[in-house]
Amino acid sequence: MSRLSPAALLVVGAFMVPLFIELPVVLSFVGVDLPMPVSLGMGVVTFVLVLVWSEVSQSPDAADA
Amino acid sequence: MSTPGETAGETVDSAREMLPDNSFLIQYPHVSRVVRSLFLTAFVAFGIGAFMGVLQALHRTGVARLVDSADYYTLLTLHGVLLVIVFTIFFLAGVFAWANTRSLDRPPVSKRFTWFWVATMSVGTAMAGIAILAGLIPSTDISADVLFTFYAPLQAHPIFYIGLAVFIIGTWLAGIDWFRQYLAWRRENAGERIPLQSFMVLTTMLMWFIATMGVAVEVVVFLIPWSLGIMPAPNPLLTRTLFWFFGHPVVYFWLMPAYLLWYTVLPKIAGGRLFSDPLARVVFVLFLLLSTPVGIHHQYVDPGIAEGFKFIAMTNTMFLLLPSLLTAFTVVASIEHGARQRGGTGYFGWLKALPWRDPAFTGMALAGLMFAAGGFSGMINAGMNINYLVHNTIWVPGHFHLTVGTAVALTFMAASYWLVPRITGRKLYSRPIGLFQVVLWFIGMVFMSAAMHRGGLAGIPRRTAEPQYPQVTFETVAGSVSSLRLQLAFGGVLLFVSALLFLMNVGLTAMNNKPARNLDSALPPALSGPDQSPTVLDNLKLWALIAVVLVILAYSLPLYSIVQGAGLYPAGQEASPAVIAPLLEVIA
Repeated sequence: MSRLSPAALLVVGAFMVPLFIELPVVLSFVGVDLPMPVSLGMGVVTFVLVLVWSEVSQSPDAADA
Repeated sequence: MSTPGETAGETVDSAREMLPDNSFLIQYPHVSRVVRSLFLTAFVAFGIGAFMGVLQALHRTGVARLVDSADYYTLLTLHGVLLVIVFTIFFLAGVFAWANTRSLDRPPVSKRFTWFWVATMSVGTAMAGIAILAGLIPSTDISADVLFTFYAPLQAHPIFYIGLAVFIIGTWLAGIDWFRQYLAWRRENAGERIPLQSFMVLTTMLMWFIATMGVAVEVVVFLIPWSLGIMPAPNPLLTRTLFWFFGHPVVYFWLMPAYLLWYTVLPKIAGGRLFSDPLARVVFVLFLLLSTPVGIHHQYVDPGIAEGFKFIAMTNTMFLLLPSLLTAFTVVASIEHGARQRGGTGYFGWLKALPWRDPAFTGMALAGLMFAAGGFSGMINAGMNINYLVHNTIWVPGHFHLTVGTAVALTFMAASYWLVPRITGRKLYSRPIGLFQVVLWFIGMVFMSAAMHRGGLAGIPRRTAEPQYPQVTFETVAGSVSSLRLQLAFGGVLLFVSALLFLMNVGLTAMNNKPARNLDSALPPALSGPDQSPTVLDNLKLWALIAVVLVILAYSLPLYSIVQGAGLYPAGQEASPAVIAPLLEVIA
């Protein structure tokens, strides 16, 4: 059973967009030059990880089922 | 004008038979028809305006130039006027007609009068729209490429100005209709507190009556006679000041209906109750008082206005943060109450219990979140010194795409998913598409407005078809200008796709043969009811009088100073109708 519903995944993914768009700006204040494509790529990877975490069964029983 | 509910014949009738007796559509079929008609116009304007928007996003970024750069300004005018005048005001008129009727539990006094103001607004819109569109046809001498900020010295065809005047008169008549409805209720309910939604409608319309005085004088006294050639060109600074007299409070005219929905509908959707009725009333009174005497903050770089007047406008503007912060507290408290009623626990765990699958809830929640971001960039705009950094840059469109483009527009779209079934009796075509659509709007706007804000900080100008200058290098905080252009264009495309999905979803809902269920329009009572607030809050005459006094204090000296300094018309111009000039010469 999924930990997150499709709607929850959609909302979580949406909230990640501003975080990874603003990350290069925030890092520029501490002297780190993070290109925007890299930041967005990190966002995609993070979302995929959330997706995998969500879809992996919560318990061995559920996985067996 | 045909309306969605009248097109499916017997199917509609059979669907309506299944509606509960207390549904709005059954109780007030005539008002439902009025609301459907207003929404139809709003959505058509939204579709055309959104198309103009994506054309601009692709054009100014150089991604795809599908129109001539000279026509860019026609598209920009159409985009601005259709979205922030037609879409917003027709939609809010529908919301107000629904809310005033629902909360007073009585129909408008005269059906004929109601349709008269709907027709007046529609005729005005058609005139202004035709004048703008004609600018795309070279063989006509009609055009109105004056942008949404329609002050001198840019001049439009008289049809545009006359259309605007007719439209504004239509909105005044709408306000009169809602006041007549209220007064009829008052005669039968002496001593009762004004129902909250009606209170919100009436205070908003009082603010609108005051705010539109500026634009009425600008258009009727100066722009129409000038465009007809019977009077000389007016003093540009005077028309700018009169425009911004209206141009800032119109923001609250868009926003207050969104607040109405956040205060009264959102808590119900979240499963809870409004946290505080008295706080909601205080917020609307504060907007009535403070919305208008602030317009000069749009004119910080105008040389003809003394710095002291600008400082007063800035101070008044900062006071406007108070009702917005009160709203943030009250709305969040209300939906937290709803979440806890649904079993939510913990400091933040209650957030998981909210109805995120409901596009009406998620859309309004995301709109509120984006409004907070828009509020922060608005404080930058309102600060006299730091405004100089971003004035007339693309930062400013980045700001108002968060406020009117998301807080208002996304709230209206989300509210449509809740309200359209209630005024058509038809089931929403697709909740999943609705949810995807509101989230896509949020994502698209994050991409676009972030790029606009950053581009503004780099000095990239607004209102420009080709902001690429070989001799100028814009320096960005992070990333490159070319990446910002791509980000802006990508966000614009996402927004356009979202707009199409919205129009498709409400269009298919209007044609859906499945009847809507659970159409109860009753709103739960507030946790802290109106009995816990002082009755003076309901004294509309008092608040209207104070609002007028504040406007006089804020504007009398600046206007006097402008007229004293440069006159009503530029020096050397005759301030009399040109057609009677020969007669005046004879008399002289």
